[in-house]
Amino acid sequence: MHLSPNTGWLLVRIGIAFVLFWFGINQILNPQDWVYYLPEWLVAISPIAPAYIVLINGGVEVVFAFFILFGMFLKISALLMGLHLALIALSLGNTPSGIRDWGLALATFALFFVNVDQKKSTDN
Amino acid sequence: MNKNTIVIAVLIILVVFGFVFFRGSQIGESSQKETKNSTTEEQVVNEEEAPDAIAPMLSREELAAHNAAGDCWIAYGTTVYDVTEWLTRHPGGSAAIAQYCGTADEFTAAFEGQHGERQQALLPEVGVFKGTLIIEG
Repeated sequence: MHLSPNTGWLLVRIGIAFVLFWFGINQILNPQDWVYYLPEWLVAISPIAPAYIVLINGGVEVVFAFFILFGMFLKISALLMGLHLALIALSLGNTPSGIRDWGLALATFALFFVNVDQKKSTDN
Repeated sequence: MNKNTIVIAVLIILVVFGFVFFRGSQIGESSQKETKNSTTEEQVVNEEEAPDAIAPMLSREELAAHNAAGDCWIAYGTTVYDVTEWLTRHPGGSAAIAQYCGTADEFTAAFEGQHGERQQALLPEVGVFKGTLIIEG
C-alpha cells in the first residue's frame, strides 16, 4: 500500500483540529465547567471574569481548528496552537493530562516545521 | 496570500466569535439570576438553618455507602464532598471519578496524580461539602 506523505500530514491536521474543536466547543457551551482549569496567575491578572476567559479561549481554539483543518495560515496557526498546548502542558505539570498535552503540542509543532516544498519532493 | 482565503478566515472568525459573544450574553444573564437567587437562599439559610449548619462527622462506612455514579461521595484527605452532579460535567469524563466513589485514600491519590495538590481548591467549587471523615486510630 502506497500512501502519499501528504496523507500523513493531513491525518495530523485532522487529529489536531479534532482535539481543538472538541475542547473549544465544550468550553463555549459549558464555560463554567472549565474555569477551574485556568491557571491562578491568569485569573489574577485578567480584567475579565474567568468564564469569559474560557469562552474566548474556546473561540480561539475553534477558529484555529478550522485554520489547521483547511490548511489556512497553517504555519502560524500551528506555531500558536503548539505554544498554547505547551503552556497548558506546563501548567498541568507532571500529570497524565500534562504528558498527553506535551505529545499534542509536539505534533502541532511538527505542522509548523513541515516544509511544503519538501513534502512535494517526497511525493515524487 | 489568496484573497479568498482571507475572506473565508474572516468569515470563520466572525461566525465563531459571534457565537462566543452570544454565549457570553447568555452567561451574563444567568449569573445575574443566580446572584439574585443565591442572595435569597443565603437569607433563608441565615434566618432559618444557621443552627444546623455544623458539619457532621462521617465514618468510612457512611462514605463507602455512596459508591455509585448516581450517588457519589468522595473524600479528599478527610473532607467529604458529594460530586454526583459534577460527575456528568467532568471534562475528563464521569468514569474517571466514578471508579473512586465512596473512597477517601484512593480518590485522594488519584486526584493528586491527575491534578496535583494545588488544584484541591477545585473541590469545594465542584462538590457539595458533606462533612469530615472520622480518622480511625
